[in-house]
Amino acid sequence: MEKVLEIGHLTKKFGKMTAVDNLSFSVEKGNIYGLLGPNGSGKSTTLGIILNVVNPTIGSWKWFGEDPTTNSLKKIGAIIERPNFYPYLSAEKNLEIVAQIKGAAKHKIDEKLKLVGLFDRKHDKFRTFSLGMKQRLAIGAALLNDPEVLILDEPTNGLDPQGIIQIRELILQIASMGTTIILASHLLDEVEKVCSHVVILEKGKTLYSGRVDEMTAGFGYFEISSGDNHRLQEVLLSLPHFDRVSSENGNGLLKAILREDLSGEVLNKQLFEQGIVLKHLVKRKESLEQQFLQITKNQNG
Amino acid sequence: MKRLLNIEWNKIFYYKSARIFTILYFLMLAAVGVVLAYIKPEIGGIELDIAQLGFFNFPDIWQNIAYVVAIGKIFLGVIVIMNVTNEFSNGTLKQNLIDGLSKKEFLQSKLLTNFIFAAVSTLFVFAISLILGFVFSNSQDAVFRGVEFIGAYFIKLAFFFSFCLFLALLLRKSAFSLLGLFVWWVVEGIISVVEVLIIMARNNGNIDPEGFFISNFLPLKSSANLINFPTMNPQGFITGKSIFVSSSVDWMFVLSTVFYTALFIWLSYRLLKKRDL
Repeated sequence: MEKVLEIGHLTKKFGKMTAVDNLSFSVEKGNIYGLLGPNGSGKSTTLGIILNVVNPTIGSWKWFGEDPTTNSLKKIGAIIERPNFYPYLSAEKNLEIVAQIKGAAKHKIDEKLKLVGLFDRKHDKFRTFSLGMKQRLAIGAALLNDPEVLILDEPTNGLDPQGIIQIRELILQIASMGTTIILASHLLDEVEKVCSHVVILEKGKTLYSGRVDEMTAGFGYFEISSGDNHRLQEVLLSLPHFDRVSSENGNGLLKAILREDLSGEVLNKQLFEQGIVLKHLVKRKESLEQQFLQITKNQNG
Repeated sequence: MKRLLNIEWNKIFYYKSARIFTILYFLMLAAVGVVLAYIKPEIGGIELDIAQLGFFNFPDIWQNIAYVVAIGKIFLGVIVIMNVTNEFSNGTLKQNLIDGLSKKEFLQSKLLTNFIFAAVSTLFVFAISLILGFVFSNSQDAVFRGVEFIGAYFIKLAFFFSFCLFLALLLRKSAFSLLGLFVWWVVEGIISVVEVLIIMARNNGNIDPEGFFISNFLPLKSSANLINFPTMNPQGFITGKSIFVSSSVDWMFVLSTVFYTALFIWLSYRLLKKRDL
């Protein structure tokens, strides 16, 4: 696979605070990457560095296999934190400035305004726009030069549900045209819905890097109960399939975490042979959210 | 360069306050010329006609007009500061860089704007002086002899705008930048006074006002010294001729002002380069 971005051993210190700590990952062409982490985990700083607005303490990165220059930036479209435009200029004039900087053709302006649904408002001043419209204009601006990579930092932050859906649909639409997308977010749900790959950051360190669907590669667990949960727990623990069995808070269900692959049918049969009749048996895989919380918890502990 | 100018043009021309203030500035310059020429206040029953005093005579007119209108540079200085601090408050500096403008290009675009402001203002002052001179000067000889003051005016403006640019990049807020300018001016004044006091203490209270002062070479002072208050000789008033004494630009101050201009541009570049935005 062709690598669009390679980050090698990137570190950024602000005084004593280490915002990014020896971070390495790479981005392959055509995928949607999520950069996931709680607020303050170093997502924006990392994006700032690879976009030339923050100076790294140490480390290097390559765009399209080359050392970064302002020319590589012209092949990228990026929005960081919030949509930044000249409030006194119209949507069209703002995009004209971006087009001049990127060296994009003028006729692209109308095309992108149509794509993000702002063509009718092109003569209106930026300051009259709602947050959702501002965000869409920013995406339009980032797409002006038909970039190979689109970088979005918290693109749905502060939007109403309708605005969030519009932006997500827009992202998927752009991705379907073959653009590589890097999406920074603190919302698991968003990454899960939109991304194919994820890099999880915490306190500037990588916790996980890989495909979203492989993240849930654990064997999952059973939610289980019977008339006598004490006896059930003892029997479950005597079987070789489980790492641990814990009683859940108040709902009368045990949670048996699998050590190996096992179907519900086989388990049910084994328990029946031990003289246990089940009231409840569900096999689950943990959601990304639980995994994410677990990963960050393990690191803290 | 054309690209940078196009970008700056879009940013400034459509910014209403900048446009209004620029137009006001040039109207003001023109008004100064008209007021000086046609308003003749009476002081103690005597009509004061500065044309009669030789204010508009070639070659003195170049220095006289350049000195009077130089105060107006504050106007353009405010626009220069706003032009940079707005880029911080709108977050557009960051976005420009992300979109692929280099830090160097950003600085170049601002410098280009500043030098164009300085050049247009200089041309304007040149034209006003030339016209008033042709209308009111009692002699049309040696028209361009003191024209070096117009060159000094350009250097003065170019320095001032570079200094404003530096302050704006350093302080990021327009109010702080203007305050910074004022504080710097006061500090230079204090340094001058201290130097005078030290020299007087050494010489038993005597001082030569024409002597050498290190504080004359401080940034704002040295640019002010490019175009001094015109020297006057009351003798000329009694004999009915011009009271103004022709003088010339001191090249030492040209050198030091150009040096400071370069220094502040270099500091601006370093500041921009090193800062995390």
